Amino acid sequence: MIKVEHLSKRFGALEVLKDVNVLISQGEVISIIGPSGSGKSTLLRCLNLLERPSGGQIEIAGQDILAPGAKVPELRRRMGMVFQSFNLFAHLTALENLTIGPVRLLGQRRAMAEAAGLELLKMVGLAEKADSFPDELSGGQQQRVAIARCLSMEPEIILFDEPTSALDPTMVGEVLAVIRRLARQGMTMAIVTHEMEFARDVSTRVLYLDQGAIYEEGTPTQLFDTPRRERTQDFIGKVRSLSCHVASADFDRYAIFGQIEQFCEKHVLTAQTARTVQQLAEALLAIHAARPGPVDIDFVMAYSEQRRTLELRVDSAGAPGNPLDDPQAPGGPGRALIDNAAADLVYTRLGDRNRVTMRLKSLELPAIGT
Amino acid sequence: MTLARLPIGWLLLTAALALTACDRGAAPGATAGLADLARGRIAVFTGTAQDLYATRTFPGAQIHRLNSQADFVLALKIGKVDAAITDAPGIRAIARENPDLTVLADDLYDTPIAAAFRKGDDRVRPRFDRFLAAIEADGTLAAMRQRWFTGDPAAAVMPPIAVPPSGEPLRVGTSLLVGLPFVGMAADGQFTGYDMEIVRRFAAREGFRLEILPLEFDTLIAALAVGKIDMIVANLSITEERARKVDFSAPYDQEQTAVLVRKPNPAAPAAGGARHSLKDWAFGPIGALKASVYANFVFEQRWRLIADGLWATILISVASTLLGTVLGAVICYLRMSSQPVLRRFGAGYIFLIRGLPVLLLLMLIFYVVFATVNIDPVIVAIIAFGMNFAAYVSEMFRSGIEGVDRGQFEAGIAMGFTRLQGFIHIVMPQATRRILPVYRGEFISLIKMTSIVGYIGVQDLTKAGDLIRSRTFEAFFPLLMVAAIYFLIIWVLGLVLDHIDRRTDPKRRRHRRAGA
Repeated sequence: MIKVEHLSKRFGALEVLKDVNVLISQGEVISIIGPSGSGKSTLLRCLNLLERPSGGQIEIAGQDILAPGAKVPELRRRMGMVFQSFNLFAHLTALENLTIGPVRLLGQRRAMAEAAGLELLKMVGLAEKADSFPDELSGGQQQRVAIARCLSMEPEIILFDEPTSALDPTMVGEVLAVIRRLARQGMTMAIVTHEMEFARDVSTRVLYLDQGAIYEEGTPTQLFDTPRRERTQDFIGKVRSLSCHVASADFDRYAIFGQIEQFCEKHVLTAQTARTVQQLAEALLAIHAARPGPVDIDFVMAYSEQRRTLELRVDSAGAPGNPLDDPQAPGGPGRALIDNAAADLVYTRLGDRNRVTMRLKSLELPAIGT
Repeated sequence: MTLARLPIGWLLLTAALALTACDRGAAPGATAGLADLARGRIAVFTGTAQDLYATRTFPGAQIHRLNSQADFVLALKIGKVDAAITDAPGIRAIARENPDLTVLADDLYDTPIAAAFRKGDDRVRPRFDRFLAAIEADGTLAAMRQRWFTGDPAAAVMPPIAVPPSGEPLRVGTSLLVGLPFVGMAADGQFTGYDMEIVRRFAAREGFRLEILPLEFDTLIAALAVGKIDMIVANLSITEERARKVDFSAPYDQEQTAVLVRKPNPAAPAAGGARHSLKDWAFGPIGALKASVYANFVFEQRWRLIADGLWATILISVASTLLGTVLGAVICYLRMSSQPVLRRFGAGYIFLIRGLPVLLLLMLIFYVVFATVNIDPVIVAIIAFGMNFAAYVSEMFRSGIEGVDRGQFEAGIAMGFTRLQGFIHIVMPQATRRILPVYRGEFISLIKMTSIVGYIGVQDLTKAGDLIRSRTFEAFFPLLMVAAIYFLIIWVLGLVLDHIDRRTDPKRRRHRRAGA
């Protein structure tokens, strides 16, 4: 139904979409997820040409909508869009918001459009608000009217652009319930969302967008339970990370300690956890910095909010081989601490760098050796 | 404001003004002799020979340049000036009407009066000179002098003179504020007076299709120079300076110049001219008010002047509002265009027009842009005020449109509205609500601004008031009457805009529907 090939979009020097290829078929519910700034909304807005793509092709029902003679307004009538900020027409009542399209664009008689509009308001549970103006409705109610307004045009597909991002947490549910109902009725939809649980049970397919391209896609089970690629994994696991670079054996350990403490505070980890990580970081960095050759180490602390696990990664330059297994590595309490705290310790060679990944046993580790 | 409260406020205002006026009228002493003028305050017509004479003869005096006989009377009565210098017939007419004023001297100097033509004109001037010689010879001129200068000029009636309805056009510029016995307007809207009779006889004899344009006195020579008119007949005296700019005909009158002052011990001044007071009307304040209403409104059907002026004011205000709104929308469109050239043009227009006093804009359009085009000055006024209005409202439109949430427009576009449909159905109704209050203010100031159209010869409400003052020589009543009428128009038109405001309020619309 919608075929997107090699879509790209630039805003001045900023390349938001690089090379996007998507195929959306009738009856599919596609969720588009990804970190902020990855171009999700831009992709959606390119589909109905609210943004003019810089390159590529978009075909809707076999029609090239970027062709010079394409009747864009007519194509848009067949595609609804629900916005993050609702965008209801402020000078019209809820019901009038639903009748203006059918009357002005589809040439329906007002009485007919009003009857149909009332039916739709009933469907989204707002029949009694027919005569209310948008500023008299709550955010959740406004968004439900906005969905009904889309439906009033009897579209073939609805594009949802972060429909719940501007809502109070208490109102998210009512809007998602309406979208779920549409999914059950077989409406074709493309949804940009941050609600992962919702995306998992409503969609038939999930696209993970990162850095202007589709990085990974699959069924919700595939993408959420067994993501194949690293950035997807981090995103799905809601991984927050802190990275520091060390370029000398006499690195400023207290600066790093300070960053760790701050990071822990921000993500509500205990002070004890922070102290443990500080000690582990010092031990790991000491082992790595002691190796021969120039010092070039990246230290990453990654915390998954979803799984509540902490991972420490140390990437270093130098000859292949696990630095921890180096016979010349300093032993002592540092090494003991590492072995004691690790659930597992994995060595990998990534390109010309060595990586040691250490997963911590538990977040409530007792501090040792103070 | 409610209807009930209006008249009370109005009466208070009237009373306050009247009191101030009485107060001032009593204070200044009367002028004793010509010698006192040297240090006094002297009123003259702007740009006349008397203006020049007073400036040269009394260098120590303060010269007040006024624009009508009525202003002379007003200024003398309230003590703003000590003396007024103008032509003797005019001054005698004023003195007859106003028992508290008197002629101090009527032999300051003699001045020849003539018609003026464009430099080098040999089409009309020779014919006018021949015509003058002829009426001088057959005694017509003498009879006219008898008619206009010996008795009460307001009572004199111009004999019917048939002018041809078609033929070679002759546009004569004059100024109604010169006043009788030279130039006046009769109850039926016909120009009357000594000068006007000459013009009419000239047109009749030479077969011209006559067209009389009443302009401001000080703009007459400019109008002649750019070709708006073919000749000036406005009790114009021959001076050296004028002779450099225009060609004069032979003089058709020799006129004395006189000085008008307050009487040393003025008899109880009457509010209205003695001529109009009716025996069966009671005296006292109510009687005086009745006499004023009669003199300024009823007598000679003067209400028709007011009605015509009112029509002109409303026509110019409403038409230039419509024109200005359309033009303002176009300028706003240019201003918001994505094309830098159009945007700069729109901004340039606003910058230029807003930086120009509207009176200058009006005069520039009349005397420069349409210099050689014979165009109805009402249309010029509509264009000038429309252009001015456009510059102001285009910025209002812009801020109103920019104030509408862009997301709503986008939602409309996403629904399938074209950009134009989206603007009409989504942006415009909301922008209108934002714009109306400021738009209303601008409309009201436009109505008041139109009071300057007299400069290009349109007889609007203000001008009608001036004309009546120039006939009745009453100081306050016509001014207050015209002020009251302006107030009423603005109030009524304001109610109309209020109504529109209510009509476009979506929430009221719902209540109305719920009630139905």
